[in-house]
Amino acid sequence: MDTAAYQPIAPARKPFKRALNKTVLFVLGRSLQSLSRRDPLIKHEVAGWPHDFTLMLRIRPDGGAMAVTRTATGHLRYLGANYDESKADVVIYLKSIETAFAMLTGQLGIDVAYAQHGMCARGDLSYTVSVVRVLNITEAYLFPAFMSRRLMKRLPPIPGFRKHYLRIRTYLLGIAFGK
Amino acid sequence: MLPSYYEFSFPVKIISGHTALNNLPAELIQSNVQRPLIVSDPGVTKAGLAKIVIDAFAESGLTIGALYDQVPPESSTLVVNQLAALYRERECDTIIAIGGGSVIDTAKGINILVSLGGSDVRNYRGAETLPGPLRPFFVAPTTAGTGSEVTNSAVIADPEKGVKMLFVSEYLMPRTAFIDSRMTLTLPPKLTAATGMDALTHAMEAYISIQKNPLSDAFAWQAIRLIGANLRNVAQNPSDQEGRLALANASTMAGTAFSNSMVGCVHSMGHATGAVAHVPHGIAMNIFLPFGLEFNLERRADLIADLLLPLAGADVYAATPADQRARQTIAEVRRLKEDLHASTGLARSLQEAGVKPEQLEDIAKLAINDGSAMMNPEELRVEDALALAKRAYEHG
Repeated sequence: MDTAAYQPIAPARKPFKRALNKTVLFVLGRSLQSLSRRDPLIKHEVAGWPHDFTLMLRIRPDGGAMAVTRTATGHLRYLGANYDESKADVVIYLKSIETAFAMLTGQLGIDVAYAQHGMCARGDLSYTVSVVRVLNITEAYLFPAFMSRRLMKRLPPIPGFRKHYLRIRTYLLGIAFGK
Repeated sequence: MLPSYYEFSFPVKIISGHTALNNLPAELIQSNVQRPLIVSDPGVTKAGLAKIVIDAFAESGLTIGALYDQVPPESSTLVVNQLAALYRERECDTIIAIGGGSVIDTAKGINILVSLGGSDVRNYRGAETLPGPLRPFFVAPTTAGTGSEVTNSAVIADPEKGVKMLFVSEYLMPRTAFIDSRMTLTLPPKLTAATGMDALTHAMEAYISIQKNPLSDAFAWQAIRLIGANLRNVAQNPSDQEGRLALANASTMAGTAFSNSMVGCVHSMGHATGAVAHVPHGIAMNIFLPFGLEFNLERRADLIADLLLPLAGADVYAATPADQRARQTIAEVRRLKEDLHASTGLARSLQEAGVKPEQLEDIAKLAINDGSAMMNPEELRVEDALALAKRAYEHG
């Protein structure tokens, strides 16, 4: 057999999806920081998390990451994309770039992604359900209602005016400045 | 309709029979291990069940490294860490768990440490992150309810922090589970009824979960059929060895089903009720099951209707108009609860289980943060959980 015909195959890159995933993780991190100061539903959830609780989302193996931590004032602070994974209390890994892309672009809900084994997690899972609620509420602000309805069992109970006001505010100030 | 994507893992060899454990030493040799640490609890020893296992080793040529029968009712990271040290000290090369959920979860924890190294199992907590296969270990369940002998998870309490830690990995599953009717023959009727309803809940919630798949459906279906046909009889005639074997098999099948498709809001409510009011898990499942099915009726009516056939049999299914089958399934669950209450005194409501009305809010708040809620078809919010708890408080 001519073994020269059978060479190793290096993994291809998907630069567009990779870049978009990283961008959305940044948007998500900044939105969490901003909304955790203003949305009462997120405030209520985060209040139940331990002080200094740090949550990280990471696309395996190196497709991007973002981390947020709960501050003493009960808000979330975005820690960037390069936070030391070993210091996080919980790391939620998205198993593939495709699952991450589907989730982060509003094609796949968090519950369904978990049901399809698209995610795994290291650390204290006691707050997982609360974390999922916070992510769902954040998505309800970032995505239009017709998309959110596909992603969640029920839309979070956010009054219409607040939803529109905080959505505009998050896109104008929250993502850019984390305010 | 098939799910767009699913996973199913069931690497456990099942050995079922009235004397299944006689082949335990042969299974060890087959797996190339020879010196087990046996893990159990005081109740198992008292009931003479550890002796059945030890007797099976006669003339096998295998030495039991140690028998530890002091696992507490709630498995603890401290005990796991200590037993991993004992395993190493006695130069064991495998583990045999004889007991219920706590004993089996303890064995799973020990197996993590002795396979992957380290002295504190807490470092391995998480979901689907254990690196690689663990050593083969063996399980002989002594209750017919938890299904832990075939599940991919372990819940181990951390006594220092006062929290329960979750470990999820397909590698947690044992090499072989022995479903031996002798091991459940001495279970008292009320405990038989409660564990049977736990298994029924596993199967029914697995069948309607958002993670359901055709393979888990098959296991859930058979489990429900066996429970529907045998639970009443065995609760009334505890020495019915055939019925015992059927229920033990049903528990294993239900465990396989929910290990691959998860459970739902009945478990969320049950875990919370256990934590707040110390109601045993099986009793809580018995109380909440019909209410959980009702809660999911709008989204899962067709699936709940399906379950009438295995639960009540072909005659009842055929006699019930199609549009009434889902309600009839729930009615059959209630009828089973009533019958078990009449024969064993099993509590039907939270009130009968000793829960106080002022505890209902705490139960609701805790239930919505339970991981089982994620795979429930309907979203469980605090107001829903409170309404469920209030209904389950007064009614059966």
